[in-house]
Amino acid sequence: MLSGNGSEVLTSLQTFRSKVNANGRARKLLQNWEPLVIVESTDASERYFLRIRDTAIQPIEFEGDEDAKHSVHIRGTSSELAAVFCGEKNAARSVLNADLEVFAADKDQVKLDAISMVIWGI
Amino acid sequence: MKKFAEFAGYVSISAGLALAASSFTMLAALLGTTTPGWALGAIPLAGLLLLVVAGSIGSLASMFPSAPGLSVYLGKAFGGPTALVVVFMYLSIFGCLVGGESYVVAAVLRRMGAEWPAAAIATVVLGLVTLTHLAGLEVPRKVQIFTTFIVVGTVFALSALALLRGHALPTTASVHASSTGSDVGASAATAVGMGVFLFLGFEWVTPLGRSPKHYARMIPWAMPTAIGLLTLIYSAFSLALVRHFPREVIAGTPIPQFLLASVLGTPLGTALAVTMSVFAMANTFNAGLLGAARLLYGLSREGSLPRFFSRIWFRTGAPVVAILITSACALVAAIIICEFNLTVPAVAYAAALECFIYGAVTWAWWRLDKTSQKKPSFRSPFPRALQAVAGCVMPVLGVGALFADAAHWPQVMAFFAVSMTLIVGTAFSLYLRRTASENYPIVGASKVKISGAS
Repeated sequence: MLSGNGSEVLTSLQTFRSKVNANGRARKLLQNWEPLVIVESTDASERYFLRIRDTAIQPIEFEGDEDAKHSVHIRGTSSELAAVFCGEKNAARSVLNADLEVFAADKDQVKLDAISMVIWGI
Repeated sequence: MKKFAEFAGYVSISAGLALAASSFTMLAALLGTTTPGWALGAIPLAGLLLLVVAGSIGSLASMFPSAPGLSVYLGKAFGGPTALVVVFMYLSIFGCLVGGESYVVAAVLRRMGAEWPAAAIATVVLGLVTLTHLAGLEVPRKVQIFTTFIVVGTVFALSALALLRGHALPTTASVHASSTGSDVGASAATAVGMGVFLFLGFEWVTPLGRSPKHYARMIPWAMPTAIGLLTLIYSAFSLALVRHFPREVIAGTPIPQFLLASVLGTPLGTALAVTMSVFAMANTFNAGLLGAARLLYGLSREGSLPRFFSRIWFRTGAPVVAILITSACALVAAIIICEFNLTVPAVAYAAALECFIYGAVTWAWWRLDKTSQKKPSFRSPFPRALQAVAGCVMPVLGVGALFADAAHWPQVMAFFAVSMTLIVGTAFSLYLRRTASENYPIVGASKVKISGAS
């Protein structure tokens, strides 16, 4: 697990991870869903890998398989990513504004959005 | 090899929605409305114009990768309400498309001996598709690609076998007789406008990229490739039809594929026609219903529609309310279209809406190419002047498409005017509602922030 990095994106991802893993309803959404979530900032050359396994988000990593068979690739500026993953911004609205880019199957996009709806209520 | 497979996948997605069963109904209407010469010319002409439009869309897609569709580009260029107007136009198109498909499903099943009322058949088919989506069962991408290739293959096979058939039927003489007469029922704008419907939905590949890299070349080039492929398919199919049947016979059927099957006179022809119809319908129902439900879900999530619309079924992760409402609306549209035999007016209305959307998106590119801070990684190969011409011509074709059904064009025109008034009115009121709600604090966030406050 990463620690000691001052990145606002990483901080928000860690918040996101702990919120999801502590929320029973969010974990129910993770059942039978095990993608590799790649989070990439477009302005700070940061990239994080979140593996979802056994209805929980595994420790965040710096490296991973970019060509994983089942992946969800999320891109945006650092501030956008930080705002979305700490619940400050509605992720769906960011996607519809083209501020956040999500490269994934429709079903995966709805699943991810539903998780943010459950943990942040927005 | 992997790149080729990915590119082929995007081409098949781009062509998949356009290869609806009702596209062949429109093709029959086109061939029946105007002379074979005009009809055969309208298809490549519509294809050429759409190549220019695809250039603009490809450039915009590379500017805003993964953005959910043309509504985003128009919203960026002309403001939020425009995006909502386009979303509602798309929802109307989906309603017409699914309604038209239901009618064709009924016609195919009746042809195969099922004597059920068309509305009952539509209810059963829509019910099955809805249950599948509610269960969270999404058709894998590979299966979608496979079904598109099946449709392409069967249409080519059916057309080629009919064309190779040594001699045309005796009715061929009347084809040429009618084509040289002065009873040209449709203007060029109507013919090409109807032709645009045959390519409907080619742009739906733009939100479906699986990697940022694919937006630099692969997705922008997949669209013109799909348009070229569709032009070939429809031209071959039309050529085979006009070779063997007179205008009035072609115009009199919603399932012209069975006319070609009858030319072959063997069980193979019927098998090809049934296979092509079933797979085309499956593709359209799946992509159409799912796409429309996701649009409703997205509107709700961004705050334009009540939150109720974005309810998720936890067991499957399916947007249950959006799916049910979309299916209910599609069922109503299907029953009306089936009961009153309105397939051609419905698809003509959809063609008109699509022409207006394509015209608008060309102007969106024109504006954003100069003003947006985001620079495209793909540049349209067409000069700006040609894009402007396409932007001016597409709305004219939209108006032309409204005249597709010579018997019902005043009603289609009136319906278009009323529906556009409703769409624009609803979009603006929802936009104002959303703007007002953005001034309220977000509850439940780790940091509560009031939009607009610094």
